[in-house]
Amino acid sequence: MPRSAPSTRVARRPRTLALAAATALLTTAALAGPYLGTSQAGGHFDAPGQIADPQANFTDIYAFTSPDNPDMATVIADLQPTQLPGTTPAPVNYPFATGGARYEIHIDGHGDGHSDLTYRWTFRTEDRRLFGAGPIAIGQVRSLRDSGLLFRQYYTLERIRAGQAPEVLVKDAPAAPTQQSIGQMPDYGALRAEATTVLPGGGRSIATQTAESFQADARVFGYFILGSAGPVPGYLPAANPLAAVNVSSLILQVPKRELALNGDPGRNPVVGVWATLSRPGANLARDLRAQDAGYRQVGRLGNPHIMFGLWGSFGGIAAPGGPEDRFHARPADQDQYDQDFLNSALDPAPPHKIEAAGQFPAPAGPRTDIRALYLGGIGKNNGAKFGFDLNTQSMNADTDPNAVAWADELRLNLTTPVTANPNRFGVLDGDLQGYPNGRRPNDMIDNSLLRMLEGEPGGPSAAGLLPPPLFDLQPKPATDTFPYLNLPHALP
Amino acid sequence: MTVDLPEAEAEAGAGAEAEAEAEAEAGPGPAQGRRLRWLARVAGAGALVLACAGGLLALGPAAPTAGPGPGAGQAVPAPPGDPLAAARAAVRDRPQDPYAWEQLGLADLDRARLTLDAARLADADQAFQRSLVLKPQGNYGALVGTGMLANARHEFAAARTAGERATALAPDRPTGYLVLADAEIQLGDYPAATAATQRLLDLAPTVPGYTRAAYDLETHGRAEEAEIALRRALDSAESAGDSAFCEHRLGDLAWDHGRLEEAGDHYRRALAQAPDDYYAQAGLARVLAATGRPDQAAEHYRELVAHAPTPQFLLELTELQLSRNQDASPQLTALAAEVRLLDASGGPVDPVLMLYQADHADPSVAVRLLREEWARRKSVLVADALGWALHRSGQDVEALDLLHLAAATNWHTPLFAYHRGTVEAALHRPEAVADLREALALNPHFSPFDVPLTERLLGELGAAPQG
Repeated sequence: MPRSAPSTRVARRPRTLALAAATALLTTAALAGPYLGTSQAGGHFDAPGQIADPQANFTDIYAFTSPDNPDMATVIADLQPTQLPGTTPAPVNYPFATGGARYEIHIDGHGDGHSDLTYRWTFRTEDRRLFGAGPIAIGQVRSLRDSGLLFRQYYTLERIRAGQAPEVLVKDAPAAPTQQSIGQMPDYGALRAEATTVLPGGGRSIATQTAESFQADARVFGYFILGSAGPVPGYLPAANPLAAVNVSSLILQVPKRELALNGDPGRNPVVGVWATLSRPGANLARDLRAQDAGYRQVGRLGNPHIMFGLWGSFGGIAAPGGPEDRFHARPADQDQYDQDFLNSALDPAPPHKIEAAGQFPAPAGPRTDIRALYLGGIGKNNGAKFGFDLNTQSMNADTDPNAVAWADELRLNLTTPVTANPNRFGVLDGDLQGYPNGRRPNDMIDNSLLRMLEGEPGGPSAAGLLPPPLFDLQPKPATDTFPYLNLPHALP
Repeated sequence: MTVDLPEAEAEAGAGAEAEAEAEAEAGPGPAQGRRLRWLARVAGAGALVLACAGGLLALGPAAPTAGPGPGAGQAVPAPPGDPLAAARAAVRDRPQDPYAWEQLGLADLDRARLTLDAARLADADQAFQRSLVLKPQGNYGALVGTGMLANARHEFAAARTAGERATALAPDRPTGYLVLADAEIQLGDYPAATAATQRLLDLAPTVPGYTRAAYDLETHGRAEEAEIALRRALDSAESAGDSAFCEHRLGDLAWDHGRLEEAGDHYRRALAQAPDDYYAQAGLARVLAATGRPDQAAEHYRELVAHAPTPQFLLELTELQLSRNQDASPQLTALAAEVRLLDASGGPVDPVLMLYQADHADPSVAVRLLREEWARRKSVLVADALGWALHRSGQDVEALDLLHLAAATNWHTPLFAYHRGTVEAALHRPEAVADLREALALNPHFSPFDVPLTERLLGELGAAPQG
């Protein structure tokens, strides 16, 4: 069915106009090659291609006996790193993941890699902004209930004991908002206090922005990645930028009897701790309207620096197809079946890099001590070289020794007394309550981990290799009272 | 602690100055010269090309528009720095680092995606090649980068190859499946596209995975499920640009099903997030035209094509103007120039551009070019455009075969139904009425130009439009 005249009208157009119009209209964009049209563009090049998922990026896990209340233990999961402080003219917002995403803190008392106890946080957003865009607060916010706070998040915290239905501990507890600026949120501490939720049966929880607490040393990072003192090009600059940025934190304090296997920290003192984020998935072969979301684990963290310590890698330099690629999606109870992963724990990369750089001879393998460090805890009989039992689940009276499996967990002995004067280098320097017996916010793990990778305590110390930490560039030390982490950095 | 490369943010604030410096250092010559050489490579050298290039030199790359978003007076949060400037600075600091070059290529690609500025694609190409020279083996990032670039240039077979190599190299990383999913769905291998999309979704159930899942579902006529997927994408969006993308796609879905108010709301939300989201601007113009505000619509379109003269936007403006008996000659001229450039370059053929050619110029040219594209890929979009071009050239029997192929995935769009119904009517097929009615039932405003034709044809067939 031929159409009416338009094409003939085109044929009669004045030529001079034609060329002028064409050049005026044809920017580089027009010459980029074709673009798919509307309702045809969605699966295409203009669809987002950035896979990075900051909300699933756990930076640090801390687990320690609460120094201000030794009957309690505290677990902290930090995520979404390098949040720049906002200012009143340039507001920022770093919300927790919503849409059914599950932040989970897992507790393993049996030592088999399965979580005996899971604390699950799910967030929802209440967004009162026009069209869901723009700054999250108008004017000063002095309370979470202020009408000027337009973007609010609430979480439900569930406790799931293995094989049982989830119990809701709190529903719709408020999360503290992202700090906007000194001007708009002059007393963030008050907001954080308001966002502190008391849990039934004792304990407290907070979801809040905090100042990055990680005591990092960019020069020490160099040894993990390059084999010599840093800074590492493209990684952290020499001056520690972490001293000025914020993270999001999930802070959970619960009675030790709740964490320990069979509720008895005396009989079962050791727990393994790790955190995951899982997002709802979908099976395209079935109707999405009639299927429950199959959750996919997209982020995971137990021991600090596992990528550095085992492979000397970070996001940009991991070997494609290697065990790093599988780590984040794998449940801890499957670690024992990934042979590449187990092998890399027995043969960590950094000592070889350091030896190649002419710095320090690599200890002889297989490195059962490093496998124990990451995947078993410090025990007399599991390959660790400390010569005593400290934080392996084999110490738990109610554990089946045959069921204990290699799994990446941050292991904490709940009965280790709180140290009066903590040593930030932890167990290596005689402070049994420090890393790697759990981890306190002020522990300086870079140096301890490198020394253990270089063979301590089973061989000569590499402590002399390391520059003394530049404390003047460190984040402000965490405090000894709940919630321990410092208030987020703020600008005018 | 684990941090993925805070460098991009540590560089926040590297602004126009760094941009200009990097521009000067990034390539073998000044940007304009590079662009011209690239243009000559791509387009061959015809008189028209040189004329266009003259225009390019004067215009330079498109600047983001101050969009017609409703958030006037609202401060939209400034992004914490310019990722492209940061990536350029990183390359300046570490010219021997393959990872820095790969990141620069990705930043260029992302900028091209947002600005539709082709010069960025040429820069991305250079950056990925540099990365591969510095690290030829196991360079996953540069490999998937070249695949994304090939998809962007509609070189889908090359993209498929890159995606296959990347997923073989690293079966547990998501980005390779993203490249593969984009390539396969455009090549028309729908089972392979679904498989790659599913794997992508399993590894990364976030914006990239869910937006592609939505497209896969939509292509298979599962619009309601596509909407669910897009809402999940929106739930996991972590940047204004990603949120805007999800919103404008939700708008497109609503539009295709005649829910104009809902579509307009999604487009406005997209523009509140990202004022220069071109697809949302076009969508809003479309809604304005359909709701009795054609002057405003034309104004939006004119603003839009000044920055992003893509075939789709030019054609939508053209057909709006023609439907109101207004002058569309500038757009028609630009479209004609694009066809000539395409013909001279022998490059990938855009089905939308060919719909212009079939309806408003010489349809035999569209048939010739689309046959070449059909030999390259068997996408339902190509089948639909080729079918329509064949009909416009009077080859209705072959046309209908192609339009039936276009319907093979069950994708119910007003345009597909209108094309099929029209050809069926020409061949006196009884199902013509049902198909023409389906086009109007899906969206009674699907096109200011095609809707009157659909209604007239239904009248000629003795059927009331609404049935």
